[in-house]
Amino acid sequence: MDQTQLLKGVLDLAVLAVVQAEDGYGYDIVRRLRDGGLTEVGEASVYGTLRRLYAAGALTSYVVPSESGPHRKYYGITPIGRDQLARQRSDWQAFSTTLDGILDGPVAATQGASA
Amino acid sequence: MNTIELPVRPDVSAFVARVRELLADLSEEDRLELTEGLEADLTDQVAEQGGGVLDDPETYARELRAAGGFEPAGRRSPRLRRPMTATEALDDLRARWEGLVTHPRVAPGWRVLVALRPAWWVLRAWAAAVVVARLVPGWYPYGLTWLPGVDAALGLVILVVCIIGSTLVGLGKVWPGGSAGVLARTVLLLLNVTAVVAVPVINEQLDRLSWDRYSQGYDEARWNGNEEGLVNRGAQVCNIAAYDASGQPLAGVQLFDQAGRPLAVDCWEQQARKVPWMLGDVARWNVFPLGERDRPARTERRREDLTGAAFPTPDRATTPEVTHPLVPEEAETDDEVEPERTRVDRSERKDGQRDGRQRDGDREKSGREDDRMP
Repeated sequence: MDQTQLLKGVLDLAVLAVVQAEDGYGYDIVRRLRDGGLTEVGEASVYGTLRRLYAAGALTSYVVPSESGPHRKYYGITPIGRDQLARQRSDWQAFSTTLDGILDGPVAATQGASA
Repeated sequence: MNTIELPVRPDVSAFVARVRELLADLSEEDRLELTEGLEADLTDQVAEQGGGVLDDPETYARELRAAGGFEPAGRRSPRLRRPMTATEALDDLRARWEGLVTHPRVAPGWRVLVALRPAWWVLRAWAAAVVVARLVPGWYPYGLTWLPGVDAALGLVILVVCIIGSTLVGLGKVWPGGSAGVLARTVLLLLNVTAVVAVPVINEQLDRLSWDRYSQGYDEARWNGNEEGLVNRGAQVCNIAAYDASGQPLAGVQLFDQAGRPLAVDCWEQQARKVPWMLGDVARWNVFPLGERDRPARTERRREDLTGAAFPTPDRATTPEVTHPLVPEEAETDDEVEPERTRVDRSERKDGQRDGRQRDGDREKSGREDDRMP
């Protein structure tokens, strides 16, 4: 399946997880996502997501001057962002467990349900 | 804008400028937020992966915009923006609203409001019920105070129907709830806004109504209480002290109104203390002054016992002499001028001195009766 389709619902989660690990600027975050395996993630999508999370209060940002080029805009996580991350993480885990159950077939699913 | 000590590659700055241009329909603040640091990011990226990413600023801008949670650009050029369709306008309104209520400062309060949604369904149902009740022809004055104009049972039926309807609409099971159509959404929005406005208006009307009702009841109570009685300057008349023109007190003055009805001077709370004059064995309450008992007699037996009963002492023994405006002052003698009313029949005088005087009322019959009616 096309990874970009799958990413739509969970890019927030992925970005928050990456930023929580360490503050970063736009392309840095893209790089870390790609290094993590999300090879098809679009930069603009990540930048837009960063902006949206910032507007929602989940991220904070600060500009770091650079001697060798344009200023970089760094993002860090806020308490709201941590809450959101925790919530979405458990949502995701529940969802992926459910989907695993479905993919494993009806027998496994019923066993899972009765357990 | 965040430039620069060392030069940004010209193709990068051209690309960023184009992207900014494509986002021109956003507010300056949003645009800055979306593109701040873009030069730095792109410079890194180009250094790592080559300039291929710079080929398509349109796609890039679109992706940025979509991921940033903004509406897609109307058309390529913001200057050619066509007017929004109704659906877009509604979507836009909704997006703005969502943006507002998901704001971190607002969101906690909004979550509480969302939990209270069923209460709103009931509230708007009530507003609708009040309106429906007003549409029922006629005005039933003794209904529920908060659902006036109709019988209480009918009011409750209307209310229950409205609550069910409102809830079904709220749950999206009944049009216009749950429909994606422009008409349904518009109607729903208008209904909700109307309800929001209507609730305080209705509340104020009910307030006024209950005040009216109160003052009406108050007036009714006032007038009902005195329906059978006589009021002078706001106070009930319980007895009458009559004096003749020369200022002497009279006893046994029978008073009637302009229609010949006996003057009904009965303060009901004092009735038990009064002793009426008698016509045969019929009590006449229009003859004054009425005798008064020292303690109330509420039973037949006690009413027959007249010990301790006496005429009340008037507040003055005599009153200044008066002259009749319609009769020339020919005769000064006491016996001549007797400005009593036509129908006043002096059967008895308190002092007994003037018994047997002629009635000269006919002479006086000049329509003055009304003047003396309270």
